[in-house]
Amino acid sequence: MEKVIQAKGISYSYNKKLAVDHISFDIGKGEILGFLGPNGAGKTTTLKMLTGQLLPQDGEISVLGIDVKKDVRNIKSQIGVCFEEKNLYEEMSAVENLTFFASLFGIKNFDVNALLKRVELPVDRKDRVVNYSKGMKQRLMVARALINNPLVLFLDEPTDGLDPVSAGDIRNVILEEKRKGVTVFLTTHDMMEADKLSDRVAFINEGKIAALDTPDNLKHQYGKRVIKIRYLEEKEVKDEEFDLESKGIGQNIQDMLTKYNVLDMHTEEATLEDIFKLLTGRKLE
Amino acid sequence: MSRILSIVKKDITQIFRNRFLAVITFLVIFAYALVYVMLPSKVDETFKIGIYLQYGRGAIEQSLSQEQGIEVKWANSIDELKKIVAAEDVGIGFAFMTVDSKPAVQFYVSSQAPEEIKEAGRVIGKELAYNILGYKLQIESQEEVIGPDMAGQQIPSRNKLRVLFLVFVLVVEMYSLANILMEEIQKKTIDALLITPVNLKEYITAKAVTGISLAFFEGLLAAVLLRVLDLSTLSALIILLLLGSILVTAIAFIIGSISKNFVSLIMNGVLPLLILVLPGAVLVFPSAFSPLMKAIPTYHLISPLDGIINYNLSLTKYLPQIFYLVLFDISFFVIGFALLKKRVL
Repeated sequence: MEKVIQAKGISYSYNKKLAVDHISFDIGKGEILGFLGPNGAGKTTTLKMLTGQLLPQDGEISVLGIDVKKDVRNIKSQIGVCFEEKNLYEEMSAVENLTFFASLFGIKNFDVNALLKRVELPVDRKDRVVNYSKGMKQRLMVARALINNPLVLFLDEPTDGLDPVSAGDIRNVILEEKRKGVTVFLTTHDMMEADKLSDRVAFINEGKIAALDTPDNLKHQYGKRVIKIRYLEEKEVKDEEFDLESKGIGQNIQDMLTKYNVLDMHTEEATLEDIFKLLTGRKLE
Repeated sequence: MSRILSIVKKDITQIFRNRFLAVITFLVIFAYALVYVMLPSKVDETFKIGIYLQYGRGAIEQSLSQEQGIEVKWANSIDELKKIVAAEDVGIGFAFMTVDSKPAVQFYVSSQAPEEIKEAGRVIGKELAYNILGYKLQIESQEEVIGPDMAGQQIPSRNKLRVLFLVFVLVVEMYSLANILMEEIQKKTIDALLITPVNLKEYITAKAVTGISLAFFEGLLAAVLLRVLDLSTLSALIILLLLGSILVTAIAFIIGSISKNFVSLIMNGVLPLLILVLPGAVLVFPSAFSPLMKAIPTYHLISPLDGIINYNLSLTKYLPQIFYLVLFDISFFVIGFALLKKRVL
């Protein structure tokens, strides 16, 4: 797979405090990499280095085959960034915001209505963004990141704090972009979102990558699959858990079914959150 | 270039969408123009005196009518004389009479009269008494004016204030640009800008163009409304307003970079504002001048503006001031650029 983003041993410190500690990874064309970590783990600093907002103090980054230290303007013209902070011009309307940014990319005949429709924002609203709901502002943020039809999308917590409908719509846009071959770097502390969207996930903790693989592989490697049985014993509801990998599980389940009044039975697998906790000793909050 | 112009257009839209900034910007200009119109357009140079003569006006009336710059109000009694002095209709009142068959003069001044008026009264009183007694001074006095002769054409204070108003318009614009910069940093919209092909140099150039052009055109509008702009002053005023606009824009960069919110911006802006308008006080109160004022950048703007607007002097007479003003412009721009860069990156 063609490598669109390559980071080799990159690090960055703020006032001698190491935020990102010599990490390496790459992302292929049309791939979504979920960058998971708690607040302060180094996700945003990594994103800033990849987008040329910060230059790595050590290591090398190339985006679309361009060295970020050498031709950052070229990179910027081909990427889209959606920030965690809702940094929109709130005294301006959605159309004015998008038209202004399109002009910075030098886009001629910019179809603002098509872009607004794509993120399901009303095209006829002339009022200022300050009056928009949180969900509408986030849709506008995503629209802004798509203005220049980017080849790489950097999304920093794109659905954080949104209602389920808005979050779902934004996830759909991300998946549409992936289908078009756009590479996505997604930072989040929402493991459900990372699981749904990402081809691979990287766990970052205290500036270091603790694990990087597909969600399935991580679950297989670090999680344990269990079957949970709820049953009645002397009018009391009880639970029993069996490891699906253990020997004699079939016999054990059969014994339960004959001996007790089984209420329900279902399988359960480890979540990314469980695995993150297992690997780092921290919660994804 | 098109990116810079896009940012300039956006900034101007933002400034005028902020009702507070838009109102104070234009309110200030129109308020000054209104104050200018309301202030007296001429300086009353006549010295008004009140006179009571016990024995008829006679020769003294004829003598005083030939005096330039003196207006006499005649009183029919000492009580009437006292009344017009107390009402400040006249600066000083003289009562010429005889006491014990000897000529005597009594003069009256208001309790509010400054010491110079009292001293002038004593001199005028003696001279008038001398005149009444029929004497003539046996000396020839001649007057030679060094510098422009302003006799009869004293500059009214409203014209002096125009210079201060012009500088004030520029200084107020400093707040608008500082506010735009502060908001851009605080709301992190600057990150969104710098993630596009716009680089920091273009961003700062755009901010400088916005600040300088807004301050300059507002200064020009104020100059028109304050009636200081004509063909003879046009080129000089354009140069001075431009240099003044560069100065306030550079200071706005500094204030905008160090302010964290609107309140801190106002706080950080108050001291520079007071310092920058301080040299303007000299226009109204010349005795307030101190050599230390030359260390204030706007001194080098106010001084040539005053000379050009009020005394029809040429800009070439102020080349040292222009030189210092350019130096201040460059220095503040370097500091502002460094602070902004440090804050943004």
